[in-house]
Amino acid sequence: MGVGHSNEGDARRAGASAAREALVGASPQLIVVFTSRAYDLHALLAGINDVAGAVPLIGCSTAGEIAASGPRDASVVVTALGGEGFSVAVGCATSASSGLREAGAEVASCLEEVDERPHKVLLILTDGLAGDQQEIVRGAHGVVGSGVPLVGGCAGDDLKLTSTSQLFGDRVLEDAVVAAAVSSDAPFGIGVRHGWRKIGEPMLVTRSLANRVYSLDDMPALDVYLERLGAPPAAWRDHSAFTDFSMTHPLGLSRRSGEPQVRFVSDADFVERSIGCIAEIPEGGVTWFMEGDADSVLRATDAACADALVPLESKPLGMIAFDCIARRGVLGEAGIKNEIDRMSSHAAAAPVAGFYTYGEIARTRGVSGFHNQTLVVLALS
Amino acid sequence: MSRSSGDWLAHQLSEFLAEISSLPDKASAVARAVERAAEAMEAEICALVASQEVVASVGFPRGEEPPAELIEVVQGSRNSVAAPGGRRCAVAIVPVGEKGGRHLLLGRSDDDPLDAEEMSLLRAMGRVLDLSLGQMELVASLRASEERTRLIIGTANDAFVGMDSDGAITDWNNKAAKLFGWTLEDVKGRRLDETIIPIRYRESLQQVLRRFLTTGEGPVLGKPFEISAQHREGYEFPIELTIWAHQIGRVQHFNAFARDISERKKAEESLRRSETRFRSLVQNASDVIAVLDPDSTIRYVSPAVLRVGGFEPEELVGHRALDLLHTDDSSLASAHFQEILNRPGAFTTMELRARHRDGSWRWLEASAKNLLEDPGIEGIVVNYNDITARKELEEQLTHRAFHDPLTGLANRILFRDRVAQALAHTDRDDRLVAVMFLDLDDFKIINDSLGHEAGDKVLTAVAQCLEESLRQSDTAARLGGDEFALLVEQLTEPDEAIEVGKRLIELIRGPVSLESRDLFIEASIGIAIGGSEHDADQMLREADAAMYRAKGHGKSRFELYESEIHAAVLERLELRGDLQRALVNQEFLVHYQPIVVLDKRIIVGFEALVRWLHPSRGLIPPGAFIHIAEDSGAIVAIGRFVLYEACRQTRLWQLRHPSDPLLSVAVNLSARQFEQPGLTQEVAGALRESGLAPSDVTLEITESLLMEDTEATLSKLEELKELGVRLAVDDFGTGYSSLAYLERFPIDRLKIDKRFVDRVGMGEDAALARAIINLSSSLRLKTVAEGIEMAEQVNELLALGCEFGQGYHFSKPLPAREVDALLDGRAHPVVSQGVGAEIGR
Repeated sequence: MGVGHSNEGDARRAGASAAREALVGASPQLIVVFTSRAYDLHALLAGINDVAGAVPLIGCSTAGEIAASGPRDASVVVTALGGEGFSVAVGCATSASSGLREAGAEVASCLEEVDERPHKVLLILTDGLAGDQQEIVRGAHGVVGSGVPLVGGCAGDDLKLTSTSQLFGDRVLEDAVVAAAVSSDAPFGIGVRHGWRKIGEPMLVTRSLANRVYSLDDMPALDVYLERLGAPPAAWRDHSAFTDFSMTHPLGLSRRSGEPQVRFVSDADFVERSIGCIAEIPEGGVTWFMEGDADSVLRATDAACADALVPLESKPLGMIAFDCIARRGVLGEAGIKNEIDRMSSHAAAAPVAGFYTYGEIARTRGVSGFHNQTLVVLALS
Repeated sequence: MSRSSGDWLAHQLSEFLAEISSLPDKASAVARAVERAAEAMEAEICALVASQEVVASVGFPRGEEPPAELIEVVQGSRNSVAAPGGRRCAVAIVPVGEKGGRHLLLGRSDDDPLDAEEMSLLRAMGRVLDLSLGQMELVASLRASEERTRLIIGTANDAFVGMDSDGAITDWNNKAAKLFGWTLEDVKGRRLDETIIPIRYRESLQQVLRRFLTTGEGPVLGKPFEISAQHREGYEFPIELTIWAHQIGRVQHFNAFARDISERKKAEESLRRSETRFRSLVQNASDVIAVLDPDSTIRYVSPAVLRVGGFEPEELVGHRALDLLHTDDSSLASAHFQEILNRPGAFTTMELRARHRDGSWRWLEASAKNLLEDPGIEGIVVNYNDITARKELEEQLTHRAFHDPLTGLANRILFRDRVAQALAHTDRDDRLVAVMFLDLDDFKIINDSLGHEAGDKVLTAVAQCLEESLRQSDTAARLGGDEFALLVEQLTEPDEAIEVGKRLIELIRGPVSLESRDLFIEASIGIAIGGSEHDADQMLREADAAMYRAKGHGKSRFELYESEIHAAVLERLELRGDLQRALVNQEFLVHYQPIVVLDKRIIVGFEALVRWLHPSRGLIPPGAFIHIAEDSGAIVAIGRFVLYEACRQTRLWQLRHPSDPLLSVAVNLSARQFEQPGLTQEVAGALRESGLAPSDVTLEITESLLMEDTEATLSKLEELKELGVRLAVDDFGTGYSSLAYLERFPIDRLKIDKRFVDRVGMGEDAALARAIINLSSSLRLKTVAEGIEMAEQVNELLALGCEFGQGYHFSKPLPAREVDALLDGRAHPVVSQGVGAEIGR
């Protein structure tokens, strides 16, 4: 695995330079691109493909790029995977929002093309604004079954929350899902942690429909949310002030084991008094408000990296991180530098790549696999 | 959140309920339920199985769901499945609904099974799902019923006429237009007596309607009555008219249904004419025919009752038929009777016992049909005949199949069944079960020096000793030779089994008196102790292994099973592995045993038998590997190979040795093969590829296969039969013998098991063989005797009416090239009669 990083202004040159830096090893089989939408993405892909040739490529736009050299904005990170004992197939589904589950199933079908090797993983990059992401995960799981872990993240757009891009070969797509099935002789490791903790008493979701929550404990959801958490006055009226606040105050759903599952509160409807989340909040369930601080979030970083390294039988060849943009909000600029240094030290000398996401995918047990405000680390060996 | 924070269960359940009940239909509810249960439990797999079918599942790669494994979990024959990714999952199973048809299965990898709280959640999910599905079914059926009402008027078979309070026609369906020749436009606003009812009825019809409007009553309203109707073209025909009133708001309306009854009238007329003829038929029928009132009182019974029941008809008329039945049968018979009582035309059959005039109980096969509404009969018609002889043969065969004829003890089959039941019970009461294998020491010496008769006496004495020493609940069996087995149940600790073992050795040591001398018998005993985690075969193998160890350690002692001595298990596993390889390496061979026409002693065909040429163990007989192949499923591929090979080879012989009729071949079908969905196509393929005519192939199936799942079995057999192949029942008389299936299924041949043939021609009682051959010929089946070893048997079988036979007396199963030699006449003297080769004299 090789990683290249460039923040040159010219898209084509930035792509070419990052690709050159990434393509250090022999026989590359997959290129993964995480890039800012500040670039002309067609030119960027042209630059990468000039250098990489016909190697299969998947990628997406981000809310910030991650490389060992540190977190960046307005840059591009190119990862090349290849070598012996390793096989790749890629898939792509467009118009995802009109059939999320079908899109998940469609991209997952590429697993059937990959060479049979003892360890497999399906890497998925989606449009986080396309709807309930858990449906995409269910669709993919329905095809690959419980034996193959799913890992990945939702594309970002530097927090403009308008539209995101997915990259496939030389195509720049929106409202799409792209995936790479990877089989390998050596094991993969996956770590999933967030570091948020519950505050206050649990609440019953008394009315919800898919991603929208209308009432909690039979009271308007927005009022309960703002009141109990003591939100600043601006968050009661202003959408961007609300998002600034909600980014560090997600909802938590109870799970059988491990940490509660976190749901990012993405918007408020000040008329209807409802709140919107990035994935389904089931009616009849129980939820908590959650909070975190720099300390708990960084502890989660260490734990996720350590978890990812457990299954490996040798030193890691590299790590790919899908890190929620909301965590970046909690940590601040100095904090995320610290976070990436920690990842690098867990990776020992191996390269690190990743991006700030609008949602994270990691399905290792059961059927659920969509996360928010979480760090997902994939370690390769 | 960890589950210790309290109401995890309630929260998960309320989420589950909210989600499932919000879905629009059953299919999506089931799919979501399976997914949601897996999410809540972090399970690897989850599935809903309903009556032998996997309705929905999650966790398996697309197209790789293993329905057979999941169904086996429901049936209880396995408790884990291979989960995707190579892990094994212990599977928890809960019912969905009380009828037992649907089950929710959930599997999590072995190192993390469901705890009690999760089990109760899963159970609750099953209950919630059932309730939701029930509600959805109810809603769907209500919707369907509304839809139906709307449809009925439009597509009714009856003509429908809607009228207002004056009797003016407002509505008229297509059937009415067709029946009376008028369209709705023609008749709208006019009255029935102006259109379809002849004018002579006008006054009475008007009166009916008027009377109803003033008094609210009507002699014919709501009741069908017959009347003549008039077609537009003027001719009259009989109809049945039903008029009823209904109120919309305050306005009274009338509706009428009319039905053409010309055909019925004609039928009634012809029935009247044929009644005389019918009566004379009944009087002379050999089956008894009786007509009963709804309270089962006999109104009429045909004269045949004198022959069947010993009674004169008049002795029975006036008695309640249900009172004449055996008390064990009367409640079931009454239930059958009630079931058809309210459904005109309904039909039922059952087997029951009734008292003969001589005091004995007779088995009857009775059918009853509800003809209460048939104007010619107005009663329940019962038709029955005596099947006592058939039932007795069945019972005898069944007893024989499960008992050792010499000692009367249970045999291996029954014993194994008892062990399995006992093990299943341990699940409930937490007790232990012991299986003991007991082998007499030096029995061979007694047999050889004192003769078989003495040997048999010793065996009988030992059997008696075993029976006397056992408690009521325990079982003693003779497994064969000098091998006995005991099943001891309800043990609280292993020491109790050891005590029983010690006591037995002492008891058996007591001398057996044989004519003038006392024999001292000694036995070695192997003991296996187990509980619900064991299966019966395992217990038997363990006891067997322990018994051999006891013998090895010096005789007259007992040994408790320990796992390291279980070499048999290892061998079985090894063979199982070898089987897979054998398929690839083509180590299987087909041998052919000639089937001979007994009177001419001429070969007419062969039974194809599989052999395994193991690279290190040599030729392995089927008995040593077929059950392993059945377990592993390899039998399907082996069976396919035998079928194709046998067809190919037989066609070759037909071409090389033309005869009339052509040589035929019989191929065994295993139960596993029979269950394969593509079996018929496969047989058709083998026929096509070889060019063999279907009528030259006989497929042999076992009796037990016919006993299972009879509807599916019947349709499968009929499918095969359609191809033109013949069907034979193999090893007849070795399982639960229900003879009814022989009539029900399209069987051509019966193969009598060697055990019955052995008794023929030996001056021994051949009653059972005779009974089977008689039965077979009464059903017009061909009979094939298996295992013929002596010339005397051939003659007696011929005398009994058996046409075909096979066995070592004629030829053992032979490799194909030796059969060639046989057919060429090189191996045996041949008297050519233009029909195959003659052998065996």
